[in-house]
Amino acid sequence: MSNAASVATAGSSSIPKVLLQAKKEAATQASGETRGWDKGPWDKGHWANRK
Amino acid sequence: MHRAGIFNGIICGVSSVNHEFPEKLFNFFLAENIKKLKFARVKSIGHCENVSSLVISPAQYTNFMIAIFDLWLKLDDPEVEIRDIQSVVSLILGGNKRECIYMGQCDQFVTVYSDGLIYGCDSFPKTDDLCFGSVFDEPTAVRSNSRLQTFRELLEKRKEFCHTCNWYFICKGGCAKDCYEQFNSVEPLSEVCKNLQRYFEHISAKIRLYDLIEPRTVHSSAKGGEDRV
Repeated sequence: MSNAASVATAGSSSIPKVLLQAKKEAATQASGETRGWDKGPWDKGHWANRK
Repeated sequence: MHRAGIFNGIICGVSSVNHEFPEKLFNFFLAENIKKLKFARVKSIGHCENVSSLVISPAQYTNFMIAIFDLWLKLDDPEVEIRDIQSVVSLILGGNKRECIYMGQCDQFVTVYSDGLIYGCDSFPKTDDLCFGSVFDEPTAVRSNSRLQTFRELLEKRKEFCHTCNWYFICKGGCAKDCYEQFNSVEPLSEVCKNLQRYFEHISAKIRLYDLIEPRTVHSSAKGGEDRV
């Protein structure tokens, strides 16, 4: 794991954009910041808290 | 609908017809500019008898979803949203929003039939055990319905059983229908668990390559998982 991580973190540009976006959104969720998906109706197509 | 701006995405059934062609499906949707996707395993749920030829196993579905995840990561287009994958990725990265199947709150999802009767999630067959009342009842009567209380108690027992699993912090006991052999089962099906664990491990391993998982998150999941919700 440590070897793989050191290779991948050699340059931040190598981190996929989808993961960077997911990391940012996860941080927002963890911070408790209210976003649209908490307000409903969930008409924006967001995946959170949906069946 | 897409051109009119009222098209949010699609749910694609994954069956014996298409599960071996994840790349073809993925590319088809992208070519049609459909970027919000959900994939759902076709499974026998007791409503119909004539779907058995389309049913695929948890292992086949997991293989499909792992291939989709790899394609999604390789494409690396933030506009492409695949619900289940984003839920799992977000949870691994420390988020706390999730799809229903990872909420452990199946009692929060009900089905209202045309006669007004309220049953459990439509993943379940329509059985008396999951009839919680009617839209014509007082809301307090529905909330305190004895069958709903029994269902909630069952969900708590299942979560308690699963709590020591390394991946509990993601699945919370999983889908109350798909992960259990019978309605009253407390222990999840090993075949379902094994494949969910394989799926979570695959995604987690790919994310670890980029050193995005904070040590706190890894530590907590390995110890059985703190409840982040």
